[in-house]
Amino acid sequence: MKKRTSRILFVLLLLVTFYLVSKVLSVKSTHGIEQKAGMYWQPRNSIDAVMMGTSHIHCNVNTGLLWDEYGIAAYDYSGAEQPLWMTYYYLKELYKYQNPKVILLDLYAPARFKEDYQYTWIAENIYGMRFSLNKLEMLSVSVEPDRLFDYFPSFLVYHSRYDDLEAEDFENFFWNGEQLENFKGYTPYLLREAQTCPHVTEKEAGGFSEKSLKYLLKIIDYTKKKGTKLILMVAPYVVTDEDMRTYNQAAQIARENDLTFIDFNSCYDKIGLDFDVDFNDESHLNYWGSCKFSRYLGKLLSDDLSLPDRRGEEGYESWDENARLIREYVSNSSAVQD
Amino acid sequence: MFVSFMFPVFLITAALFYFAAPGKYRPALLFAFSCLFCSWLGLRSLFFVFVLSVFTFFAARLIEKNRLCAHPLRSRIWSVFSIAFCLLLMAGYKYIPYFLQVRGLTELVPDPVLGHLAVPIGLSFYLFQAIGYLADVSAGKCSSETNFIYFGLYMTYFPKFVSGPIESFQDFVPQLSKLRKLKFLDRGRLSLAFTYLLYGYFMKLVIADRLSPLVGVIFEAPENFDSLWLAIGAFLYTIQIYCDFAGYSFIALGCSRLFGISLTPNFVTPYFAENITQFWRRWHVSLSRWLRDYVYIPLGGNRKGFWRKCVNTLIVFLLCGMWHGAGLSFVAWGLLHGLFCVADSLLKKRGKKLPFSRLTTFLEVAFAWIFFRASGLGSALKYIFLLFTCGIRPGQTQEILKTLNLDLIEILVILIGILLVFLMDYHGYKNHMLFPELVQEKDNSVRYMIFYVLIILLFIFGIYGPGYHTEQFIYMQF
Repeated sequence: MKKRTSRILFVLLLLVTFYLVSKVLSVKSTHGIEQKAGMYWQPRNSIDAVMMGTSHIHCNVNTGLLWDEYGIAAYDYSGAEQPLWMTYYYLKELYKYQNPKVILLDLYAPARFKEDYQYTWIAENIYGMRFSLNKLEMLSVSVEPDRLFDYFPSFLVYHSRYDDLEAEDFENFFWNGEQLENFKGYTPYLLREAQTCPHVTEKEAGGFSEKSLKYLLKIIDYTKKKGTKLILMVAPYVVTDEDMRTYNQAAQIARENDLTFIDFNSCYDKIGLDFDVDFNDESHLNYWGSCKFSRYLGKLLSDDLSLPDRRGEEGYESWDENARLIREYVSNSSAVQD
Repeated sequence: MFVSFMFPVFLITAALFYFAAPGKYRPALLFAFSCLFCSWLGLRSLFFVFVLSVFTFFAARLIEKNRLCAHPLRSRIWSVFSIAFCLLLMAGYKYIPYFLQVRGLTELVPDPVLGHLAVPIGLSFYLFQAIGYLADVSAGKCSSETNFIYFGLYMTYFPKFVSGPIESFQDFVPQLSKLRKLKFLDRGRLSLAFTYLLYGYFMKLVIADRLSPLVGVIFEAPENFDSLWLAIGAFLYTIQIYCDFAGYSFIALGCSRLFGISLTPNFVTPYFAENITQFWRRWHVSLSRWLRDYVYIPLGGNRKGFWRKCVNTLIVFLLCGMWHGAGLSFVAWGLLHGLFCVADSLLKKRGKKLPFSRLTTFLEVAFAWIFFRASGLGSALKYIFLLFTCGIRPGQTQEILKTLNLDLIEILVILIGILLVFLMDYHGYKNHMLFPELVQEKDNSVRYMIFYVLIILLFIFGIYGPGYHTEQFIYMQF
């Protein structure tokens, strides 16, 4: 009996320690990992609009503003340079917990990155997803077999983070759930870097790689099966003619599949973007630019799609808190910058 | 191979098949898995060990047959021929590439040929086993094996294939006939196996692999360091090589215990030895025994007077150095140990003892390791020259720490890791037992606490997997 008790205690102690250590050491990053990990903490079936794609989503779509001004319960479920084959598996992961009314998919990744395996920012797109068969399937299409153990299991990577820890690493436990729930994916950038307004003339369509096209069609099929409206979009940035070829092809695909396609690069003026002050860099809007864009996007979502105004509803308190935290962060950071 | 992420998968699969199979098939199954392991290392490895096993198996049969049929000369001829063949094979593989390199002829040899000249993995270990077996059969110390599966397993057994221990046939093969009765749920055996594995992996992954890059940087360019850091480098290498080789050996022992086979413990707290002779009874025990049984004793051992004993000792250590590697630095390392042993014998003869015997022995060993680690004799001599002449330059410390990529946490991890190994070894040494065996005698609660600490330390501080590289996560653009 005593032997059995000490054995059970040993296993329990080991499991608890593994949990604590894993939570402390696991990689935290607001460029993909936190966006994916945060989704698990959202109230079940509470999100109405999910934005997917690359950093163009979590830097440009201000979920706090969408809530403050339109009452849209939106979530930026994106990751740095996330290719469409990873987006597809994140979409499947999303439906285990949520049943959104609309999904907005940004197409910057297939326009800019053509390789069948993209490793540069792959870490941001792996470590936020919990272990599941879905994750294994995602890895099997995202990583060449001989490089699998460079990324899986995750603890092979993060176990050696012990000399890189910061205070926030100790706020990642289940009892900090409320804090994790308050994060809705948006990551504001606060630099102001003047850009030149592009004038693209490309009319030809083409540019999707075979793999990207295959997974875009899979995403379209999957959302149709789930009965969710899918909008293909391009968030504003300094677009090039080369990228435009892919967007022209995306517009064709949207028409063929009876989907809405919106290239927000074609309406800089309507959005009200000022190229002198609204960009963080040529690829991302800064906070002030993201507010203009999100205001424009929010109006479109609430007018055209009649997304419900959830403000004041029970179970949506975390969106209030998310908006407050963003305002607080920007105000503190701006004060420091000033 | 033990640190490969696939090895646990291989080990668990082998154990599952092993315990699911009827008892009488277990040796055959282990042989099959050992062949699979060898082929995992490369088909060339499997080919070599298999051909050598067949050769040795039949050579031993012939030696014994002729001996028993009153043909001692024929038996002797077969014995000399087969042992000489093994020795030539080893000398060829160890020294032909070395001489080609020394003479600058490497570029003249086509790449595929050079590839074939590389030493097959594990060759030094299983060739010594083959030689020992042939010598024993020839001397009538043991009968030749009639079951090729048993003999094949003796040669290829995967826990010891890559780096030993060099098992004697008489110790290894009799265990095989007892395997059929082995039960999986024998908690004593499983617990011991687990402790060996845990201790071995701790030494290897937490300490040896952590020190390896530091030692590499210091030995690569000793001119960039002052005497203090060169001394630290030599000390760290002394710890690294111990934790690396002993760690590997403990993992081998643990794996083997899982299958119910005991292997020779190769490392018995060697750095607690009081003289070099004692050190070699505790360091790479299976090699020391082999050299004693098949070189030292046949040369006359200590039976032919003191000076002959000294000469025999020097010959044994010269061979020991040459076995470890080709090159003058290995010869120097071996001879240095031989000279230390002769000095021990002289002191003993005069009824004296080394002052601060343990510390002095440790320093002797650490000094000799410089020859072992350096890339050649010239590099070793340069290291030693700098160690004793370049003095201490405190102003350089920050720069050196940066070069070695050492911060406070890393230094603490290294110091605590070394301290833990020291304490575990000391505990074992005081109780005349290896630490994993000692753990089995503790209360369950103490045993589980030891497991807990080692597992958590291994999990966090072990050097395994791709590790965390900040640059992977510093989001620069897009």
